[in-house]
Amino acid sequence: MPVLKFFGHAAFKFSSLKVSVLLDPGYLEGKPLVSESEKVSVICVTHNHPDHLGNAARIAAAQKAFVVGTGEVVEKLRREGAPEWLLRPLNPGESFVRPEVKITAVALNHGPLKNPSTISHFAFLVELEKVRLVHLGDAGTRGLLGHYEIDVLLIGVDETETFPPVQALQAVSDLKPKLVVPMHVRKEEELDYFEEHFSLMAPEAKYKRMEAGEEIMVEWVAGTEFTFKPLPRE
Amino acid sequence: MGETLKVIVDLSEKVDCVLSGDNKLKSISAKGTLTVRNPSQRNKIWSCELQLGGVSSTSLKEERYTVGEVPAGGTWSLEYDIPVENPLVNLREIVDTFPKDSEVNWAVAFNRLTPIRCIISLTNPSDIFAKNLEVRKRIPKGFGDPSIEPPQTGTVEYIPETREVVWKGFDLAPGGEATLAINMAIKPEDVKPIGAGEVLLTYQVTGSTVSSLDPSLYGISDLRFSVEPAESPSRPNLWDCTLEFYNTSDFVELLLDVETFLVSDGRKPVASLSPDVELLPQQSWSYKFQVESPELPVFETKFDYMVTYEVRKSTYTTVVKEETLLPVMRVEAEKAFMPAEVDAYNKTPMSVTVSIFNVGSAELDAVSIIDTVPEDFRAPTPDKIKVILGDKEVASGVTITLEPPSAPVEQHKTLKISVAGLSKMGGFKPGQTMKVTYPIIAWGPKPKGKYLTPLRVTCNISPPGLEGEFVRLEEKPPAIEIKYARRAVKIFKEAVTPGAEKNQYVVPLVIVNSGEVNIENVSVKDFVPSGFKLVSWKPEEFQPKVEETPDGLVLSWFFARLEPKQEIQFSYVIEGSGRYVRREPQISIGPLT
Repeated sequence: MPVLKFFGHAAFKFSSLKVSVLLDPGYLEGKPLVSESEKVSVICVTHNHPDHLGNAARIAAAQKAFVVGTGEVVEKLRREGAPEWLLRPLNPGESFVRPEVKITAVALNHGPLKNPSTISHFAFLVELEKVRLVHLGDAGTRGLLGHYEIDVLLIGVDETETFPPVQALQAVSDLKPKLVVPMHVRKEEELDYFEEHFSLMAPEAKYKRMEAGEEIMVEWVAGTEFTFKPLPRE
Repeated sequence: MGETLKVIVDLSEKVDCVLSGDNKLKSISAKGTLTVRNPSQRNKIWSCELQLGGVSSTSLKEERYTVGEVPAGGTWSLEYDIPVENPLVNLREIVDTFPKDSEVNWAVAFNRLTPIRCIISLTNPSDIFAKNLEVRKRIPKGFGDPSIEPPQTGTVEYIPETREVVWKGFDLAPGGEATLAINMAIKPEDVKPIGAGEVLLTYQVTGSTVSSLDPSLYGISDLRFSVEPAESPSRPNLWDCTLEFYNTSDFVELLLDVETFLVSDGRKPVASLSPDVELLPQQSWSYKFQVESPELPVFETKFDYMVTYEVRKSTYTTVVKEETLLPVMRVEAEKAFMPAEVDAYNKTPMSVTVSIFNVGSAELDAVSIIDTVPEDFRAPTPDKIKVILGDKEVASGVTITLEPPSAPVEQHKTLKISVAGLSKMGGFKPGQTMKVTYPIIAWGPKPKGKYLTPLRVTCNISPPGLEGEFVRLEEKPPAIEIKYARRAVKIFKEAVTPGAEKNQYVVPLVIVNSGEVNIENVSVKDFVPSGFKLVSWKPEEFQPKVEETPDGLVLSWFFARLEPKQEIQFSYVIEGSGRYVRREPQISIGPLT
């Protein structure tokens, strides 16, 4: 059963026994959120900002992990010394496929919607053991995500860089994921607002606010009911 | 012939008592006056001595007082204080602002005509008879003329000139009770506590005092005395003597002891008596005896007597019960939306804050908010509703109902939030503010300008009575402003171009949300002429639903949502022979889900 681990800010690892996908292992306050010794198979970087790209090059080199991302991201990692044979730039709509995992790049504009960044930006749909997880990065739009069935949605709640709480709630309401995990939170009051309205905007969705270092197990029970369960801390 | 009088020893005591508005003893004091009164117009009394028992029940220090002489018609007085704890007769007034139920309610609702029932009850738990009771109850202006229920004892009348109810002409025996019920009504136009009028009770007790003073008076007045010796007609030197006392005063005098000596024979006692006889005015008492003496005997007589007296005791009591103050319940409310304006056709989370201000003078126990969640707005679930009093969240006693309970979003809903039992957490005090917050969701509101959300607030005390109301926001409801946003969407088919293979054609479609608002549930249909079949499509997620018709194929796509300015390009490839007759795609927009 897949396990989702949170490292803080926007850094997650989505893994099974066979494969581990690290998403946005950025820097926070100048320090890497993820250790280079973290066991990973694939690293996904949504865009070329330090709080998302972080020490991805070193982790990739240390773990011999593939890195997928936009052309800008790959170029940046190349300059930082990531081994060329591990770099996998994707075009919008393309997928990186391995027997255990499929990762699809969905082009979405960097937020916020009112003042968008021109940087190229992907969200990633990671399909692992029948669980479909979407990491929105710093997306400020939803683009064609409405075409995908989403089980786990990792969504930024931060009006300075990604979705303001109201638009994050609208996205959750429209995309209809089974489980929502907020990330990229800079102001607690924004998350409070998001949490206060969450169940009204998306009454069918589950909600989990994760703490750094926390792990949850996600699965489809009998193929019909989506559940998650916190794992004991190491 | 004069009067037959006794000296009066009068003990008059007066008790003054004040009860607070809630019937608690606020102060009580008693003073007494002991008066020796000479009722005679003719005779003085003198050598008066007053002996008092029971002085410890008073402020008096001495048991013995020299009164001396009291002239005819004169008095001598002694004043004292008496420590006292309770009046003889208990007065209790209950002012009930909600007579319909059995509990006593104590506040009135602002600007609502409130019936008031006053019950004045008197009880005499002592073994002393209280007489001439009189109760005066002031009816303040604003209460209208009272309706008085006939009492079981005494007479009662309302005096409009003085606005007083006077109940009098009755006594209260030991263990007795009496009750008077007065009904009135008031419609408060101010929030200051309203006084329900004082009660004054007066009564007398005769033959008894609060103190246990027990006076004894010794004094004398005019008395004529003589000893008349007369030689015996039958024998010389034998003297028949008559000792006579004659009461020349108006008083009843008591002759106590008489002792007579024959001075001419070396003070030989010849009579020693204790007659203890009362002599009425002009009444005499005599005693006869004989002595032997060669000469006219000379006597010396000592005697003791006193004027009689009567002790009169009385107590006059005044009980003032201060007016019961009736606090006034009044609340005001404000309602705020965040954001105050939302886009039409969109889903927008909103926060609602209802602020309730206790602007009255009553400490409230319960508040109810009857609020409106208009159509096209999703109501909150009960767990999202927070009630904060001061800086504390009200954790218990909150009841939430939604009518209809499972109303769809497009239906008007009434949200009732009742908060009770606030007294347990210190009460909702005058000057305090209660905040009720909850989220709602604007669920695709229509561009009709605004949605009205009438709000009504009621409040009550514990035990509950006639509730206070705040209806201004019901009459002038707060509104959620709707920002009109233009909807526009277009779909077009770009030029059909040959495909990679023979007889294949690429059909590119572009859908653009050119409006100012999100559109949802967008359905797109395109038509493929007969003779052609669908070969592929791009992107691969954009697989159309295919329906076969006599005219060819109908391809349809569904888009859950298109944001403003969002453009989606997709295409499909068909293969076939014959002429491709171009038809324009169709688009439709569904409601929000």
